[in-house]
Amino acid sequence: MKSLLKIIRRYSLTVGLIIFVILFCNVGIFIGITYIAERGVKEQVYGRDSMERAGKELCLTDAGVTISEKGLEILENTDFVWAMALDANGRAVWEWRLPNEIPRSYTLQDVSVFSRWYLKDYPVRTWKSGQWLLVFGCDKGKIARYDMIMSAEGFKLFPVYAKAAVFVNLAIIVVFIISFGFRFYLSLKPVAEGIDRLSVGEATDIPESGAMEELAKKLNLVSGKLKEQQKALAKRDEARTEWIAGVSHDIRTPLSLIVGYSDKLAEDENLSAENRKTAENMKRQSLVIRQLIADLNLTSKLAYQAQPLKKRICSPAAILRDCVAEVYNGQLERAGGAKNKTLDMLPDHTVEIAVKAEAESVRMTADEGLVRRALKNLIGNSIRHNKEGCHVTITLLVKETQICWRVEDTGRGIPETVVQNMDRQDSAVHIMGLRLASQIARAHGGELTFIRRSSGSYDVEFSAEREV
Amino acid sequence: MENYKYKILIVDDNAELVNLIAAILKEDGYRKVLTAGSMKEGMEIFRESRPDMAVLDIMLPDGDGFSMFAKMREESEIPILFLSAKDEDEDRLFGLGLGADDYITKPFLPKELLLRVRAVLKRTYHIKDEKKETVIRLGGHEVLPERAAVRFEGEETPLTAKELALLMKLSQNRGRIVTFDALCNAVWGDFYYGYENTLMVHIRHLREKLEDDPSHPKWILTARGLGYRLEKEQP
Repeated sequence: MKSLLKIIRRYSLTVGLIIFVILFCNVGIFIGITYIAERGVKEQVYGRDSMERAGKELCLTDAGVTISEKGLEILENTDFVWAMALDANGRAVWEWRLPNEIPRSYTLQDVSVFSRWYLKDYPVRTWKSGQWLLVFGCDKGKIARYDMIMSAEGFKLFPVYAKAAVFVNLAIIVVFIISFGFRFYLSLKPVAEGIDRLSVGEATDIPESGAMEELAKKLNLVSGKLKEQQKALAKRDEARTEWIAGVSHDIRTPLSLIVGYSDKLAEDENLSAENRKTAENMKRQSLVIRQLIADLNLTSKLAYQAQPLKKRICSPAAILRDCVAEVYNGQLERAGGAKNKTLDMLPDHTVEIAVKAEAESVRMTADEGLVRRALKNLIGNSIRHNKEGCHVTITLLVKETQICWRVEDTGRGIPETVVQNMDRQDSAVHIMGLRLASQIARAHGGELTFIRRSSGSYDVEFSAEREV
Repeated sequence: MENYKYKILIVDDNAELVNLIAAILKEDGYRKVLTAGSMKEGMEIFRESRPDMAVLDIMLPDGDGFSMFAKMREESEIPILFLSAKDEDEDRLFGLGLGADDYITKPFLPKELLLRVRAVLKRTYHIKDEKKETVIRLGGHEVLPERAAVRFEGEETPLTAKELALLMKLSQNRGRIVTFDALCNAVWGDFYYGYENTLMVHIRHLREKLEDDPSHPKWILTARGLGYRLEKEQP
C-alpha cells in the first residue's frame, strides 16, 4: 500500500509540476510577445517625438505652408507613409505624399472620428502644432490601432482580477487532480492490495471490474497459478519428507538386528579377541548409522518446515552446561567412571565453558532439544576430528537480541572446504552435523557463523534469536 | 535376581527381531519369554499365559501397538514397554497420555533394553525392596533417605530436606555429572541463576556430613563450571 501512495503522490506532483511549467511558459510567452510587439513599434518611428520635430519645421510662406529640408529629412526617417496639415477650417494646407483617395477637407466630426480610428483604412496619428493639426498616416499593413476605454474602477482592479482568474484556474485544476487522483487511487487500491498479498504468498481475489478490470483478471490468474504451484511444491516436499521418514523407519528394524547380533558377537567368549573387536566396531558403526538416520530425518523436516518448534523459556547457560556434562558423562561411562576421581584426569579431550555472570541470568524462548542437538553436534565435531585430543572452549555471548555460543578448539578447526560447501546439497563433504546445526540456528532466527583463524581453518559460532 | 521369574511377552511383526529380543532376555537370565508376531496372536497368548510384562512394537500387521495396549489395559495392569521405530513416537506416546511404562527407540543396544525391562519390572513389583535398596552407601557413611539422616559408625546425623533432595538427585545419577541447573530444578524447581551461593552452601554442608575430609571430597565431586557428581562405590 505504501507503494500505491507513492505512485499517487508522484502523480499529483507531476501534474502540479506540469501546471507550474505551463503557467511559467505562458507568462514567458506573453512577455516575449509583448516585447517583440513593442520593439516593432519602437523600431518604426511613429513616436510623438518625430511628429513634434516635424511640426516645428512647418512654416507659413508666401507659397503657402511649406516644410524645410530638415523637416522633410525627419519625415523620410519616420515610418509614416504620408502626412498633411489641416487648418482651423479643416482644409489641408500642406501635404506630403498624400494619396489621392484621402480627402483634402474635413469637418469637425470627421476629425473626431479619424483621430481615434482610421482614415480610409490608414491608421493615423495626430499632432497639434501651432495653428495646424498635423495628421500622419501609418502603413496599413504594419500598424494596427485600438482605442480602449475602461472604467477607472476596473482599471484599478485589473491586477486583482488577473490574480483571481489565475487562482480560479488553479483551483479548478487542483480539484480535478485530486478527484482524478482519488479515483485513480480507488481503482488501483484493490490491485495494489492484491499484489501485496501475492508478495507474501497469499492468494488474491480482486473484483474484476472498472478501469483495472484487465489488470485484476491477470493478477487473479497469476494468483491461481501460484497457488497451484505452491500446492504442488508442498505436496512434493511433504512426499519427500514422508519418504525419508518412511525409509528411516524401515531401516531401524534391520539396524536393531545388526546392533543386537554384533553385540552378541562382541560378548561371545568363543570368538577370538580380534573378532570380538570387529563385532564391537560393527556395533559402533551401526550406532553411527542410527545417529545419521535421526539427523537425516530431522534435516529433511527442518528443510521443509515439517518440524514445529517446541518453544519454551530456557536458560542458554543451562543448555550449554547440559551439553558439556553429557560429553563428560559419555567419557566417564566409557572410562568406567570409578577410576577417574576428578575431571582433570580425563584423557585427551577437555571442554571448558565460559559463561559471564550477566549471561547467566539471560532467558530465551527456544526449542531446547533442538538447540542442544546443534551444540552437541558442534562439540562432537571438535572431539571427533581431533582424535589425538584437544581443548574445547565454548563461550556464551549475549548480544542485543541474540544469544551466541562460540565453539573454539585447540585442534585443527573446521577446514576451508567444509565452510565453502556449507550450502551445497551435492557436496561430497560429510557435513550433515554442521548443516543440521545451521538449519536449527536458522529455525531460531540465527545462523551458523564461521570465524577464520590465522591458520586458515575455522571456529564456529551458533546464534539464535532470544525471542523466536 | 528375582526379576528373572517374570513372564515377558514380546510382540513384533519382525520374527527375527522377536527372536533376538527373546535371546537377549533369556541370555540375561529371564526364564519365561513368550513371543508373538501379530496383535491377534499376542492377545491370545496374553489371555492364555497372563504375562507379567509386555514389550510391544507400535507397527503391527493387524493393528498398532497403541490399540493393543488399550485392549490389554482393559484386562490387566501389567507394565508395558513400547518399541518404536520413529523419532517422534516419544512425543506421541506422551501426547496420547496412554500411560505406557516406558518406550525404547529402534535401533537399541541390548544392554539398554535389559536396563529398561529391569527398571520397569522393579518399579512395578519391587516397591518394598526398592525402599530397602535406597540406602546410599558412601564408604563408611550410609544415607538413610526415609529417616533423612546419615549413619556413620552407629551415629546418626540428620539431613535437611534440601540436602536430602540434592543427595537423592545426585544418587539417581550416580557416577554422572548433574548440572547446577538440574540440581536447582530438582530442589527449588527454579533456574540456577540466583541460587549459586545457596547451592554451594548446601553442598558444603553435605560434604561436612558425608566426607572424611570435606575440603578434599571423595564422594561429592565438583565438575568445574558444570555441576556435581556423586562418585560410584569402588568395587
